[in-house]
Amino acid sequence: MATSPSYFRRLKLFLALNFSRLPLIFLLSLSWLFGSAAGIYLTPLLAVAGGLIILAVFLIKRGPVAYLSLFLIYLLAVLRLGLFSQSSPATTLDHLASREVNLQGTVDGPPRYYNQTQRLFMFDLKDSVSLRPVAGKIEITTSADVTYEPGQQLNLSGTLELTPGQGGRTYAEISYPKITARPAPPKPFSGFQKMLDNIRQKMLSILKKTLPEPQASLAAGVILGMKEQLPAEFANQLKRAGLTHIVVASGYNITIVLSFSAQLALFLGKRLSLILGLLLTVFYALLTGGGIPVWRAVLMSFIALSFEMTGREREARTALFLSAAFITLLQPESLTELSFQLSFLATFGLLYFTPVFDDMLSKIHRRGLGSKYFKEALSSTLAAQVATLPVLIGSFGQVSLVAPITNCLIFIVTPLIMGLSGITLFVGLFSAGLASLVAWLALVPLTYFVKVVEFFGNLPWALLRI
Amino acid sequence: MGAPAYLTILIRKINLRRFFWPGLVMLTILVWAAVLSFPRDNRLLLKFYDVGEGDAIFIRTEQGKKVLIDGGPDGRVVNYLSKDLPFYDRTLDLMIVTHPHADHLRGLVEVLTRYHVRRVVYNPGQYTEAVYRDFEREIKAQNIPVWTAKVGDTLTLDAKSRLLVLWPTSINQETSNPNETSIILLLRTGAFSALLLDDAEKSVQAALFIPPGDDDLEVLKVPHHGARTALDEFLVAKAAPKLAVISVGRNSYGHPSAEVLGAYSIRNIPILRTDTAGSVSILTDGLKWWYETVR
Repeated sequence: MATSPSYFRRLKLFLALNFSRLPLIFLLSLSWLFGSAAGIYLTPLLAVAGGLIILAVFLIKRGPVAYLSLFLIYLLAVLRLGLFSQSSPATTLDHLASREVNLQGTVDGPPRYYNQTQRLFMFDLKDSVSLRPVAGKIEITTSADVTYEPGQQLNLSGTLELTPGQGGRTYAEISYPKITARPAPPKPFSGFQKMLDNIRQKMLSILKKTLPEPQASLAAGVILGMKEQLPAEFANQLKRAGLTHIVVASGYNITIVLSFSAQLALFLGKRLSLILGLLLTVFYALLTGGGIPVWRAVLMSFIALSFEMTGREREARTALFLSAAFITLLQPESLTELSFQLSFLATFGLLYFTPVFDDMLSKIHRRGLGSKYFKEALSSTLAAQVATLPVLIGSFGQVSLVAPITNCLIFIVTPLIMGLSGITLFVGLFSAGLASLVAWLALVPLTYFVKVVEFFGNLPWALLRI
Repeated sequence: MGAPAYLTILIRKINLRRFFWPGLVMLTILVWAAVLSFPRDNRLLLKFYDVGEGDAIFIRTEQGKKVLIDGGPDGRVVNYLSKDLPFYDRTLDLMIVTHPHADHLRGLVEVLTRYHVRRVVYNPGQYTEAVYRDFEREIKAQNIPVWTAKVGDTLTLDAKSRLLVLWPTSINQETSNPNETSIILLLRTGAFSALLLDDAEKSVQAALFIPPGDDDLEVLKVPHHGARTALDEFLVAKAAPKLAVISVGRNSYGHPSAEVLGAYSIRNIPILRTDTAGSVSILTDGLKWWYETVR
């Protein structure tokens, strides 16, 4: 351990932000990010003033030109956001109580069916006339004659009733509203989209036909990012076990796809496998039908990978900030989105805190249990956990206490699940019988995963509410 | 996210020998799992799944024939089937739709997309519900043979077990209320019998003819999730089951009603409710019978 700096020194290095030793591109990205954040969360005047003060401090302490250019970037980010009109604040449901309302919204989760009726939740609500957003969720009751899909856009008109629900929350409901389905917004390449949709449905049906539940849904979640069909109880256990991130199409899946292609670098050479990796991840992102979060992850992972592949592994941190700046350049409001914050922070944690935890774990024990694999798994999970903790607590008010353990336990099987389920899907396109055989192999890691989730998800203290 | 750190761990040189031991371990686990999940209990299993406000009843006969009667209001039934069938078994010998209300039918559509169903029993009609259209489309697409059922028909499950159809009187009754024409079944295996009254209305129960010799009834599935309107005290008295099962979940209709619970408890008939007891399993060898509940 004598050769590697202690984690205190690393931490000091990190906190001191020795700018002169950091690459310019890193600093530019950082300035842009800070500018975007300031533009979103502060009034323009305050943001500019804050920037000026920081600039002044730097100018006094260090050289002028580089920092002036950084400030310029910062300012640009702030001003660019100033050009975006502030969207009008959301109406609360309380304002609409017992009134005739015309709302548009999105179906949240599958409907629940009763004798001849169904009930479903709607979110992402807007007033149909003024298009002002309405905060909260409503539940509607309607006849079971029509099938509604999660994610479908509906126009509702009816009387909104509010009743006090559990935990001081109010429960908003419209009974038998007039419903018109809003046509999905026209998408470019809709024929292509339809084809991808068909492939996705076909793949889902292969998994459903060959695997029992909840393994089938789990596989669909891990490989296709489809978490809608997860059994409710299992989804809850996943949350308690701190593993929900595995079943959304996110950077994690994309990382695994990329790493498969990175393996091919041995045969194809770096450049070719990089191109192949890009094609594969783009295809994968299309296949998962994922929205903006998936594309963000593709972008971030790809920038990181290309840095790594071109022998600039040490600049992974620059890659992270560069891709984040890139994303906010394209879409500044990403900064306020949970998925962006979480993936950015998780990577940030992996890059900055993993060495810290590595050192700590090495100190605790050097041999025995601390096999290399386990140590790496534990330190990277802890790093990602610690970094995302503030956001998780802030937005959900709860945190899974068992997440570090569960993440270590499933770390090794997730690529196995993806690989074997992927082979199942591929084989299933040609032969159902053969697909079953591969699926049974996939069943072993899947069942292990399920058991881990069930065991830890059922521990009464697994979830800490704050 | 997390590309670089995961990558450093995942990018290792491909070495096929590395897959040998994990592969062997997985195969061994699989073989043992297959052996252990083989059903060894050769008693008949009659199971009322806890699918919330709806019905889903599974039967596995002594000779291993598998029957599913109704599927509940959502896909939950699949989770139960996954536990009751070994992982390599993806077939059902018989699927019965008592009537096409969503709380009985929706889960079956999900089952059809996952399991190979050898035969479906239901009485087609002019129903508008979307789930009914999905159901018929799935049956046609898979070309599954369909039987209809009316009073007097017998569905022979195996050498020892059969389902007697007690209702409806004809397969083409035009009615606005499918509960009036739903298929009512009597399961008989040896000396054990169970009456499955799904959502039968009071008028139907009054007209119901229970074949002689079956008066000694062990289990009765209480009609319509314990609804007050479906209570026929005369039938409760006549059937005099040893156990009543109510398939019910959270609902705003007040199911099961106090009157229904009272009608059974006043006659000292024990009641098991799926919302409080979980899924109810009844096991019988044709002479003796046992029950257990699983949450």
